[in-house]
Formats: sequence, structure tokens, C-alpha cells
Amino acid sequence: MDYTVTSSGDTRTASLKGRLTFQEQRLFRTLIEDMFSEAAARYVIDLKQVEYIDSSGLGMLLIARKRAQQAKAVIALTNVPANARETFTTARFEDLFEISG
Amino acid sequence: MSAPSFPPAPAQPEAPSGPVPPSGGAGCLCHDGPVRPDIIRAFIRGEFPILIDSPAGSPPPDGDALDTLLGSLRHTGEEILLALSLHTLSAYEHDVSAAITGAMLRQGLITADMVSRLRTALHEAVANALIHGNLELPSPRRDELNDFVSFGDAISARLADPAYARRRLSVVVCAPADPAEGLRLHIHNEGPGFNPAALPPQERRSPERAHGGWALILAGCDHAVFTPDGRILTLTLPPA
Repeated sequence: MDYTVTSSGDTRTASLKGRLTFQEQRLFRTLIEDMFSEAAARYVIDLKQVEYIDSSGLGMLLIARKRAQQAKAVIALTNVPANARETFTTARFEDLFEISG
Repeated sequence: MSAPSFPPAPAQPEAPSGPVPPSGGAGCLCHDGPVRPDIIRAFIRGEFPILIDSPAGSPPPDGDALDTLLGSLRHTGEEILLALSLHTLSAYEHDVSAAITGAMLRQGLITADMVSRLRTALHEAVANALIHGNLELPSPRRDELNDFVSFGDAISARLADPAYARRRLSVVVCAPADPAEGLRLHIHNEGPGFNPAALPPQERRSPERAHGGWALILAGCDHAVFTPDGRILTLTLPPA
């Protein structure tokens, strides 16, 4: 997994690339820390280049959601790949996140 | 069953994808050392239906050891269609679920529309077998970042310990004698096992646990059942 974090106005966006799986636990920490190192009203996680998400990856997204809630900010997932969309449906992520694209 | 061997793995992490030595037809390929990506690709292409590797510095099983291993993977009344048996370090580094579902699709055992859900279910089953089975680690709390980090450290420590890293993870795709029973995928681990009766049977229906691996396993197959010792999980697919 790889990622970049950018800021634009009140929005901070993390663009992820590769696989979000249990083999990537260590990178989750730096991703979360980088993403929330600057305050924002809205945090976006762009999944366009994500190949695969497993339950550990879902857990990472839930941690990001928790951080955003603690910061009283909005969090959204965007550009969800087709295969991940099925996983999100099973995990009922539509009830937990604003999902677009 | 023939058991040809590949040469030991080269020093570089990714071997160039050159021609793969013939496997001797429909047989078992026992790879000498950790399996390489090109060997996985050959398995997906259907060049051999059974692939077995060995930890670095150890010869692959042969003779009685191979018979014992293959015997342990056979389930009564079922035909083995595909099998991948890797030691834990290899199984952790390679995408086992993609290899198995890719080979199944190539052989026409599943259709393209089944791949995504089955791959997800199998990935979660393999992760559980590796993490909770062979590496004997509990799940982290999924909403705590520090737990995730210490979990990653614990995985690394166990993978560096040969006592855990040399254990096998095997995925076997079988056809029951009655085709109406559908295909079965057996995921074997060599951990201490557990009591499957302790698993919450309706976890899938619990909203707060819907993101857990067990929910994703159940979403990708008809049935998921552990053996009483907890070391083998069997996923059943609907008949074609």
C-alpha cells in the first residue's frame, strides 16, 4: 500500500494505492497520523487506485472515521472500486460513511 | 503422483518470469524453498494442480513425507482438483486467495462473476488461518490504532520465529462425489486449533461486527464450517 495526503481549502484528502490488507498493518499508523496531522473540516479517502480491501483495511477506515468524529469533522470515501463496493455493502459501510463516486 | 522440483529460489525477491519447467502432467509440484511469483503464475495457468513449497533451507516434502502431507489434505469421498500448500511466511507474502480463485476460474470451476466474493471470503479465511491459527495471535480491537500497530509488530515477531513461520497453510479445492453438493474449499492450518462452538453463529447479522472477516467469509459462500478441532475451515460453493 502507498498513499499521498493533500490539503485544499478545508478538505484534507488521502489518496490510497495498492492493497489495504492485514499485511499492511504498519502503514496504517503513518497514514492515519499523516492524514490527521492538520485540522480540516472534511477528510476524504480516495480509493480510486486501491486494488483490494480486506477486513483489516475496513478496520483502518473505521479508525479514520473515529478520528474524524473526535475532530468533529466530516469523513467521506470516494472513487470506491467495484470489488470494494461489494465488501462495503456486506460491511454496511453505507450506514457509517458518506460514499461518493 | 509425480513430484518434480524447481531449483532453489534465487536471491532476488522477484524472479524473472521465464519458462517454467514442465511438471510432468497432472501432478504435484514440490518447490525447493519459498515459492516465487512465477511459480504461482504457473499454478494459476494450470501447469500443475498441486503446489507445495518448503521453508528456506529445507527440502520440499518427498516420499513418505509427501504422502503424509497429501493424505492429510484428502477428504473422504472427494477428489482434489487444486491444492496450494505453503509455509506460513510464503502464504503471508503471496496472495493465496487470488492464486486459488485465478486457477479455479482458469479451470472453469467458477464463473467470472463469482471471483470477487469468493476471493474475499477465501482471503479472510486464509488470514484467519495464518494469524489466529499458525501465528497464534488474537485479533486487534478494530477501532484502536495502537492495537493495530502492536498487532503488526506481533505478526513480524512471529514470522521471524521458525516455530511459527514453518507451519503450513493449505488450501484444497475438492469436488464431492455428488456434483449436486457443489465445490468445497478446505483451508488447513497447523496451529493449536480452537473450539468452533465458541464462535457467535449469527455474527453476520450483528451490525457492529458486520465489517469483521467472518461476515465476509459467509457472504462469499453457501456454508462455512470448521472441523471440531478448529484447524480446517470448509467453504462450500453452490453447485454449478
